[in-house]
Amino acid sequence: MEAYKKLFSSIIVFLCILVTGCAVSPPYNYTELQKAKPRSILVIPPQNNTVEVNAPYIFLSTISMPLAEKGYYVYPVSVIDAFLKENGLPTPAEMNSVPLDKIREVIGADAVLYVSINDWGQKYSVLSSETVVNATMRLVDTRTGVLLWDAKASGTYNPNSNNGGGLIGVLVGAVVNQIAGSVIDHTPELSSAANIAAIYAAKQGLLAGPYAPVSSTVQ
Amino acid sequence: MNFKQALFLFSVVSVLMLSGCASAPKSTYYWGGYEKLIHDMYVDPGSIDPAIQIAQLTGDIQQAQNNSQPSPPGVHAHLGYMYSLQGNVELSTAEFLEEKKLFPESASFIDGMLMRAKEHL
Repeated sequence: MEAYKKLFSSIIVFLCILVTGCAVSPPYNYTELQKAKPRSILVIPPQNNTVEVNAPYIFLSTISMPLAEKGYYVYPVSVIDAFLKENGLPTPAEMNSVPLDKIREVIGADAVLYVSINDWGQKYSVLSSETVVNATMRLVDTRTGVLLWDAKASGTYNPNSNNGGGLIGVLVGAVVNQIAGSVIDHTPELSSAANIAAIYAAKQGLLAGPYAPVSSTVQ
Repeated sequence: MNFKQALFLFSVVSVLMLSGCASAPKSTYYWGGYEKLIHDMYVDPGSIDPAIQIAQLTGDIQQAQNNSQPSPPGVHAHLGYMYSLQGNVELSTAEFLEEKKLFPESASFIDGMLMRAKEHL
């Protein structure tokens, strides 16, 4: 009976790890973040490592909400973009190379969020099409240049979840989805979900900022 | 392990499963159409000139007040910037100052925007 109980609990623990995929991750090392306690975050328009020209700005439209709801002051992303463009930095690549002391002096941000887009948009294959987003983000202290927090935000959306019609049904499904998909871009919702998941992840997410409701600051 | 403990563990597992191991954010701010507005500015810029943005943002700010919810960081500064693109210095200044009042972290940035706006006059 004892052995049976042990087996039962290990099955549950195993299921837990399998299902959540994050039970095995050790907690993030928040030492630097807790020391720096940033109040404000400047999101620099992302560095784009894909051919999807709109990726940096679709990402940008989905990052303010989770950061602000986490309790941080987030500078208005498109006003910052316009400001940087007016100051001789026409592309995200150039914006990402502005020295931190300059950012602190001119904008006053405590921390900068640097983002790289690694993969983005619709992927077509013979049998299906799926939408992916994949970005890495690094929060850096503007006073010291120290890394405060980093995370990966990624997600996949596949509309072809069931196919009852054999191979022809699958092929028709892929074509229909590709045509439909060219009209509807799923990356905004997917990017939004990926950013919320990354910023709110248990033990790995961003710690609550100064505007967070008191109940949520207890970690 | 008795039945109750097993049941508890199963519920913990289900909760973790549903939440994807992340706790869902509760909304502090009223966001309205802000995210879509940013998206459209870049993806479909012809559809959203400063006048349309001003109408949407002022509508969202009004709705936030009706809901007794604060407007998110950046919304008043964004609105101020749209007014400045229209050459409306008075309303632009008012919105920039509102951003600074609500979020003192924005002070350096807002002061810079106001200073540069003056220089352009």
